[in-house]
Amino acid sequence: MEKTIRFRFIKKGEQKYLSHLDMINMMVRALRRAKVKMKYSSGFNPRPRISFSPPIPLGIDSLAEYADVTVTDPVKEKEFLVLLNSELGGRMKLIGAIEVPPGTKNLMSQVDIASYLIRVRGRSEEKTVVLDCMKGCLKDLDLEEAVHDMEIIRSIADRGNILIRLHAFVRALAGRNAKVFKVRGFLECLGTALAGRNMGVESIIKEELFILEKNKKLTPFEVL
Amino acid sequence: MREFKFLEYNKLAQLLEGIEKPGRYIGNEIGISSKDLEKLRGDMMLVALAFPDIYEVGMPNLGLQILYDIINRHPSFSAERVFAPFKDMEGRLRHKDVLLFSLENRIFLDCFDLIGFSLQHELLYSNVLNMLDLGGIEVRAKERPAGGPIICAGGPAAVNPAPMSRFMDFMVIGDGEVVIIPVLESTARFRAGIIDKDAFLDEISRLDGIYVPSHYKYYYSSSGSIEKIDPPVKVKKALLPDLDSARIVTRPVIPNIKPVHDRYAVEIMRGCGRGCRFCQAGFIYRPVRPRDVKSLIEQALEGLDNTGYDEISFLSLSTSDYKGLERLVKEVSKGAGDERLSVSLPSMRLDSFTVDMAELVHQGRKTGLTFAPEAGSQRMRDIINKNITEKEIMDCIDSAFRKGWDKIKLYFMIGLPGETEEDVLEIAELIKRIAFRARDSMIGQKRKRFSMKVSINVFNPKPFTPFQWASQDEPEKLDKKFRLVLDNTKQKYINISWSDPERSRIECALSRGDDRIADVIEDAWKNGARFDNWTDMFHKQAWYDAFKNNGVEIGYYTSRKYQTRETLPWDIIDIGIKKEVLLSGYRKALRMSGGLE
Repeated sequence: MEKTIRFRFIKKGEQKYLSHLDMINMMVRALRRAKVKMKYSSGFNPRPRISFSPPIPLGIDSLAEYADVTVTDPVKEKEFLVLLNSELGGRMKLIGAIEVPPGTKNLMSQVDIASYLIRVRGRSEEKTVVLDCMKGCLKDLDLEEAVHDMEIIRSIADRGNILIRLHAFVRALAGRNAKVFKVRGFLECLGTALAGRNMGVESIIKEELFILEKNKKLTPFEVL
Repeated sequence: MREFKFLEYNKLAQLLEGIEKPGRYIGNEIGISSKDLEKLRGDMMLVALAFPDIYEVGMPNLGLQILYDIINRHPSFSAERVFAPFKDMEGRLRHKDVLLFSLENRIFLDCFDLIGFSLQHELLYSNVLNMLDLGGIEVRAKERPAGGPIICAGGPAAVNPAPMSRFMDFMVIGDGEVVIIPVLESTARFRAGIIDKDAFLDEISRLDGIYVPSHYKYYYSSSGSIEKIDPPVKVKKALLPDLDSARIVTRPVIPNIKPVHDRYAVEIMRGCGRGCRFCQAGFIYRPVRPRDVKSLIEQALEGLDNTGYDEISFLSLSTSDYKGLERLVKEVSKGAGDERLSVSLPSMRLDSFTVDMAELVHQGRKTGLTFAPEAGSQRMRDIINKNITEKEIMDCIDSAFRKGWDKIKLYFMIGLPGETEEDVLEIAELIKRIAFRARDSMIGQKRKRFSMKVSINVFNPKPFTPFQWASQDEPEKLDKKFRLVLDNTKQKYINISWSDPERSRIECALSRGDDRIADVIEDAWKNGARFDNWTDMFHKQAWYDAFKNNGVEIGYYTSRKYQTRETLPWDIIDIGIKKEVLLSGYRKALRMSGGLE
């Protein structure tokens, strides 16, 4: 009757100021309130079997946090999602839950890439300047290897804004990159570089996580 | 329709950029029950429950959760919380010119009808002034406009109302849950213009537990002592006679970020019948009022269900004395089923029952055990009325180690009335005897890993205790005594920590102060005193300068023995215990120590 459920949730607004540990505590208490029976580790200090995707820095909105929880409960994924959302009361919001086949690797060790959507205040004709600033920062911070790719996204609805999508490594992969992307440091550098040109970082959102499989980017749901 | 000024979310986000632990300032927790901003009608009384310490320290406070619950259950009152911003946030607020705001709706402090501070100890006084100032509110009551927020304070560090009296419109002595609703009803009449502020203060002063500083005047003689407090009308403390008449909070606010005690706290009993002569809580919370065990079990389980906590703490001043403890622990553990509940029992007595209970609640998991012998010699323990013998202590240690505990922490007090060098040496001896006994019961690796923590606190004579008249040792003398303990406990597995005598001295002066101390508090705050209870933030010079500038001698309030016939600053309060009873305890102690008044 034991199974593992992988769920995706949003952590933004006030909740972006919760540390990884505080977020875990909030989620575990919500699971306990929802009466979802979690599997506990054995030993003197039993802990629920729940693991989360790599921590996101404090203060960054995320649409793509993931967790795997092992339950001893016949709860259906859909019901699980509704139950937990009701207990979280809109603070964090589950937007998907799938059963994980046995033998699936741990989420923390599996995720390779995070995708960030960066909104820069500036006119679209300045996009090459923005790209140059970004490249400059990556170089200065020795983070060039930590980025998989980045691109400017055109968007008519976003006049006066430049949208950039950046895929960055969240862990060091043997033979591919030696660096892990540092969001905070990068944003700080970019902010300073743009300020000199009368532009600035408007917002940043972590929008998805990916696992690299044969050079293809798969989300933690797609990989299952 | 009344307008509330509040901080927009995007402004909050800008404010929190780079701030340490921003989770302290975001609110939006599970369990908040304040009215929504849209529902705050014009005649809704808006209360700020202000805790003058950081979020993580304030959130586990039971009084805060109780008052929050009572006010928010009322259809026409709403309570929001506000904590002391830490130094980085204070700097940010001042730099950006943003007023201090509540957590729930981020309403600026100066928009509240009533702001109530919880005074848990004296070293938080400077934070109270700082919070008022950050909220754009004059710290002195008489300089505040009548239309602004009404400021009050309660809690154990308000039982002597004199030191903080000049900053408060009124103070609450005793059980706040008894007076909060009547006070808010009067506040509503005042806000509606039915009565003016003076009439409001008159009206609430008729309630038990309400001290209105502007109704009293302290007169001092040329020698500096209190000549009289006028009028000589005592304020009787507010008392909730039957705890079961009020339910425990079963839907507390669950902190966003890890608080100092991260668990569901349940008060099982108020008051303590032990009568340790140094212990203020032991006297001011009397009489002993246990809750009914049956309804407590139900409510505790309901609370666990509502919160999802995996730990519960049964609180009282003397948990071993609660008759239904075993049943409570067993049934709550059973009722929680396989939900992996851990139970914590603070304030247990040193005896084998405690070890049995610890065994029961830990179910094989051996965390630390805490013991408070308080004094080293039997003579000293008799003087302070800590009713325990060395045999009982040793039996308890034996039983704990036999059952597999290997971590213990000991608490002692130093500088007690009548204490001699011999008594101080006895502390070191007792620490060693306990450590040797514990080590002897261990074998192999365990023995090598053995370490024992000892915490030694400075004795502080507190109002409403038999020792309220006693003197506090000077810091130099305390340093010498502490050195004596250290020099005689060189074993590397004994780790002794110790409270700063200078800080204790300030605490003592504040707790036994009269209303002249108010000027000192204000100056110290202006000199930069904040978070005085924090080791790394205590700013001794800020306080010493403040005392000096006001021509007030610290020693007058600390190293001086108060005369048993002099008028004490807190004599205007009737705490429910006759002064003669305290005096007889004091005299007994003096006789035992061979000392004189």
